[in-house]
Amino acid sequence: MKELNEHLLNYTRREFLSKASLGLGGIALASLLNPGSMYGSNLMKDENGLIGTGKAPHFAPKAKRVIYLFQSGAPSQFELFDYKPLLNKMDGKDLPDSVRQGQRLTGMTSGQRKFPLVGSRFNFKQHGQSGAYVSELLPHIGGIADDLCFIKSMHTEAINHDPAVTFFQTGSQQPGRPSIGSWLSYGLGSDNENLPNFSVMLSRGSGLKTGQPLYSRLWGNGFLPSLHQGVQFRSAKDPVLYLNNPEGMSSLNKRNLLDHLGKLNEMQYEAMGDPEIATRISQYEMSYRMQTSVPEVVDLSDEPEETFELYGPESKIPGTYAANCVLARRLIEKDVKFVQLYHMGWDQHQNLPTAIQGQCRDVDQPSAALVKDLKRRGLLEDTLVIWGGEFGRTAYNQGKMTKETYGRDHHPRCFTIWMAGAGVKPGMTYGATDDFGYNISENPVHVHDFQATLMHLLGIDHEKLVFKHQGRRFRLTDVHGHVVKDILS
Amino acid sequence: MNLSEFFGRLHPLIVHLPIGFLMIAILLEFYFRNKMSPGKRKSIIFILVLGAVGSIIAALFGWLLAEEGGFNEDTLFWHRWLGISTAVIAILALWSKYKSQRKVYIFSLVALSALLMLTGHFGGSLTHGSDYLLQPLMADNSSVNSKELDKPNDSIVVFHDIVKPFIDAKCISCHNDDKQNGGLNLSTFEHLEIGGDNGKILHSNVWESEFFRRVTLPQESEKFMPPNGIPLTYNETTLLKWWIENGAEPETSIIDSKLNDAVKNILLNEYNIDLTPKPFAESITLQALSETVISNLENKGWSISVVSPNSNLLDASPKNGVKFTSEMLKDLLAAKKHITWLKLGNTSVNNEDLKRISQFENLTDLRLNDTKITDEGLSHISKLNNLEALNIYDTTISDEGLNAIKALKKLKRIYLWKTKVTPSGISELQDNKPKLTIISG
Repeated sequence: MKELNEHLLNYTRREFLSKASLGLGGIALASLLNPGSMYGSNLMKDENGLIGTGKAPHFAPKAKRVIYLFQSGAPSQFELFDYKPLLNKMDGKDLPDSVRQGQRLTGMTSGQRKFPLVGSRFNFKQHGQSGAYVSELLPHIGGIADDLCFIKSMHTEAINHDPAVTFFQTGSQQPGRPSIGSWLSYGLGSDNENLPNFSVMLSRGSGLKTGQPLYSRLWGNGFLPSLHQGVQFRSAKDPVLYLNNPEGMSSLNKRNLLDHLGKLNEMQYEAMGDPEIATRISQYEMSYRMQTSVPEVVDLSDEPEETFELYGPESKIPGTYAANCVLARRLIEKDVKFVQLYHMGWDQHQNLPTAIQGQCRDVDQPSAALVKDLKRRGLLEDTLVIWGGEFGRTAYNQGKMTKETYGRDHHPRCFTIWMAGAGVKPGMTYGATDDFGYNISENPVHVHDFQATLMHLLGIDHEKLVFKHQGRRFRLTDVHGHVVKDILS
Repeated sequence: MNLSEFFGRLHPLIVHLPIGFLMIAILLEFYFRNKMSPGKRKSIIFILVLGAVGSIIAALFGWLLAEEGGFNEDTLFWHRWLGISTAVIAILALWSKYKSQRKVYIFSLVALSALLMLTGHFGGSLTHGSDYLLQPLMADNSSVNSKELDKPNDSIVVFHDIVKPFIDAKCISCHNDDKQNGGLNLSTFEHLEIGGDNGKILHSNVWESEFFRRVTLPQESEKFMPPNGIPLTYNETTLLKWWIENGAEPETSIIDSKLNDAVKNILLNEYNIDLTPKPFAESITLQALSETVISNLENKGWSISVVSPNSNLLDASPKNGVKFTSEMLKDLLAAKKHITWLKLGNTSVNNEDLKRISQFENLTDLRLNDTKITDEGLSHISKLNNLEALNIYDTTISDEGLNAIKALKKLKRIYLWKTKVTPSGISELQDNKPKLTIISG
């Protein structure tokens, strides 16, 4: 009740002057006729024909679903995709000042007196007809290079993990905005009301066991109605927390309880018109439906052995990246709109060559298997797969450097991600970095551009999907973003 | 060495001196009009001498410059004779001041003011083009991104809408109706085709085309065009090259031209011309299906959505948790023209149902994966002329069933994983349809 009152006060303050000509009576009347009008008009009816929940897309979509394989901690582009022979040639020599030109560093290496360049200790090979360079660490991903679109010129604004992940997921470095999946759920609605429209799965990397932590706000709904928040699937006994009936409660009892609770909530909604109450009603109902649909989808026992062969041995171990990839495919088959995986442990400041091998073992086969599996099932037709981290890593060494070991610091000025599937040109490499891999030399793609492109593929004009909150219309791309038309098929 | 040309080219420099002298004489005369003294009078006479001598020299140099040619005859005529008149009136003004012929003097000052303005204007028109002065005031100059064309793709003419604008911006100031350096006029296609003093500038081989050569020479080269001002951008030379390679046609529209990736990207990024083919759903026009029909179908277990706000075609699949029946498909016939995506994967759809599905003439994406359909059933769908993607993975379809596929002219992708199709069946299909993407797992 307190929050509601605050909301009302908030409304009065912000909207008073603009509505003053109509007089307070007008406001009172409007609130009587349509309680929702007190909360901006996001939920009730869109005020300018642009906004809506579950409204048809703005134009014909190429993709209907997304799997985002987020590599948390920032994988090094130099060991995986961005082949820079110059770094091997100049191994140990200082990064020329003319390349860095005083650009900012993190606190972890800004104290370093020297910035010795370090070449990849892993070999590269060109793959497929497209001739894309992929390192020997990722043989499976190399094998599907002709299905992938590499963007080598990604760049971001943040230089540390949390702001950078937050920036990628919500379009803002400061926490509090809705995540991409929430925006899509809000804009496009759900195709399967028995499963969460925005599903999230986490896995720990074997490269660095104590990876950067991730917070649930990264898949949070921000100021959007809470039914759009991401739902985390866990590998433990309860895949989704608090879903199962408490011991001793039968399903019938639960149904009765929900029916009566629903009635009470509806009465409250009639009286107050708070959209969060409507959200709550639908959440209770969804959780009830999910009691059967979730165990069904996470139960891999009906998968043929061949699936596990494709995704690799780890796919049988719940909670691994590989198992999550299998689950992602199963959720997509059930028309879940946005499946987000986070794989942690890519933050290799030291001991990079050993750690990255572990990480690549985790993700190489399952990532490639997922693309292959979606493709042969015809799901890649309208599913978009994205693979990438929050920023890149430096061309120069951090910490101890020997023949065997070295490390790389955070580098927001260029990194590589790849996409595959609906609406994206396969077998393409877009953008390029300079010979040091320090700056972008061709076709830069900002995080907001990436987000705009992602939304474009789903039939959304990123400038039109907005939500009015605290007197301002917010969007995922803030006031930025250009669709990268060159990579669209 | 050509002295007369050298002095001729000094005309634009020299000409400003008498303008200044004469103007200051007029202004001083006005300023001192009631308090003239012998000293002031002497100064004015001195300035008038400078003005008169200057205008004679300027007129003389102007005559020499005109000998070079390349100017619009009409404008040149007026500039030449008004310029000479200015010199004559300047002498008259000096004489009348010296002789204190007040009436003649006032007449000549008034005449001078008018002459200076008119002659100056015509001179400016000669060097910069007749619309130079007023162009910034014209309405069509106001838009920020003037490159974006506000017309449908099929009415965009390559020369007129793409090539001509950058010629107008960067070449025309020296090659127009008024001024034709090198005898070249680029104001219209007809003039461009004729070429300049050295003959034609277009050639079927772009590398022998003088026009393309001149704008792509090293900028230090004496022959590089434009000699001053902003050179053509790389994108502009690419577009020019493309236009010449396509035969330098004046009327060809953009959709009839052969395109390459570079040109496509430039057109998209700089002109916002999207030449990627439109999705089928947006290419056909159809009356929207009535709300009642749609809600009726939804009540019968179908999940129906519009594929695009720019189209009335529909995407249909059985609702989650609804068991598909043949009855449902009969209901769906009410929307047979509107359904363009139909997802029946993992349902009990059978051969008999496929007969009905063959009536959905606007189907582009059909999913029959994981079903009991057979080769016989698949033969019905050969009537689906618009089908682009067919998913029959995890069925018992064999090589025989693929015969029906061969009739599908627009088919782009087929999913054949977990079927009884043999490698030889696949290669036969591929030979039959080289452009078809076959995904067999």
